[in-house]
Amino acid sequence: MEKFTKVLDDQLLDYLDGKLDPSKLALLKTQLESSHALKARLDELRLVHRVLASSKLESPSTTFVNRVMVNLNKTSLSSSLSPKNGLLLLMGVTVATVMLLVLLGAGVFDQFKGSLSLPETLPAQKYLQESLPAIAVNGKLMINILVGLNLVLAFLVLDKTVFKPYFQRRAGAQL
Amino acid sequence: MISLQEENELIDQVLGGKQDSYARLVDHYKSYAFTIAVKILENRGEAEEAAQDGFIKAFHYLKDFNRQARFSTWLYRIVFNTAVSYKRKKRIPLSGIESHDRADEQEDSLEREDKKAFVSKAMDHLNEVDRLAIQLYYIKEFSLEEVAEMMGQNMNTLKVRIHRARQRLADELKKILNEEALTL
Repeated sequence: MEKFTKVLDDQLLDYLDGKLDPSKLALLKTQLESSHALKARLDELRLVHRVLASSKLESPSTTFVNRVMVNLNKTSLSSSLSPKNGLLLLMGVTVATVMLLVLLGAGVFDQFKGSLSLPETLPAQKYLQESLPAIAVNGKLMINILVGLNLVLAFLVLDKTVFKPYFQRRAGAQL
Repeated sequence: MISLQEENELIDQVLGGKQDSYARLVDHYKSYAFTIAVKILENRGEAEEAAQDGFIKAFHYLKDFNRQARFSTWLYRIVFNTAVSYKRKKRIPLSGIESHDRADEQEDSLEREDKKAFVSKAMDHLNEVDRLAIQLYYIKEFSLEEVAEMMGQNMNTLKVRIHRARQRLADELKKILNEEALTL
């Protein structure tokens, strides 16, 4: 019964959309004349159809086109890092780098030198015939790499937050 | 109105470095793009920003646009995705579908307004994808194919979705009208 109702509903909706086959259309019209319930269902669906069809195109503000054209050479609004967040990130990266350099200069990381042996109780150990090699650890080198990565990150943030917007504004002003 | 040939010429000019030609494309499609964004975000300010962002993205990706599809369909998909990502980021609260129709509110009869309000209330019972599909389908200029392309859905699946959503709306509307009749 439910399936039968759904099929009829589909036909009624196709009828409202003007997409019902002419052969089915004639049959549906006959059914509508004889069935009060079907006619009532058509009225329900028609009410929904009419209200939805009355929705109109929305108009944006009058400055819409101008604003798109002005921002055309900027990177996507949603993907760009906001200046405030960018500067905060830049400050954080700079402070971290300075702290690492101070500690590095003071020789704090000089003592972190040696090798790291993997524990013999490692689950994989029982399957291996040979002992696992020791890993050489150089604390000073690791911190130097970390400082280098921080500097690269700081440059990228500086570029995105300060340089790019500045040069884009200059280019825009020249147009 | 821009013909297909004119549209292709404008795209060629933009790709050739003549940025001003893009203004004509923006002007032609702004209302459609904005309407899509309004339907998704239900907030005119956010919708305007998202639609503008969509146009800017389309400009930057224009060289990747293969002309097998219509420019409009391609653009609407970008605007659709941009508005959806805005919604995810900003978690804008939902409201009724016709809440932005202010211009003709005074002219509408009370009965018509009531019906709109009831359909709007019934819309709350639909899930977000169904609600959006039905709203985009009823923007007269969009075909079923275009809405399917925009939403990244199979056309037959979308057709079924729109049919079921309308059936559900009619059922909900019937319930609401019965409840209203009982309270009178």
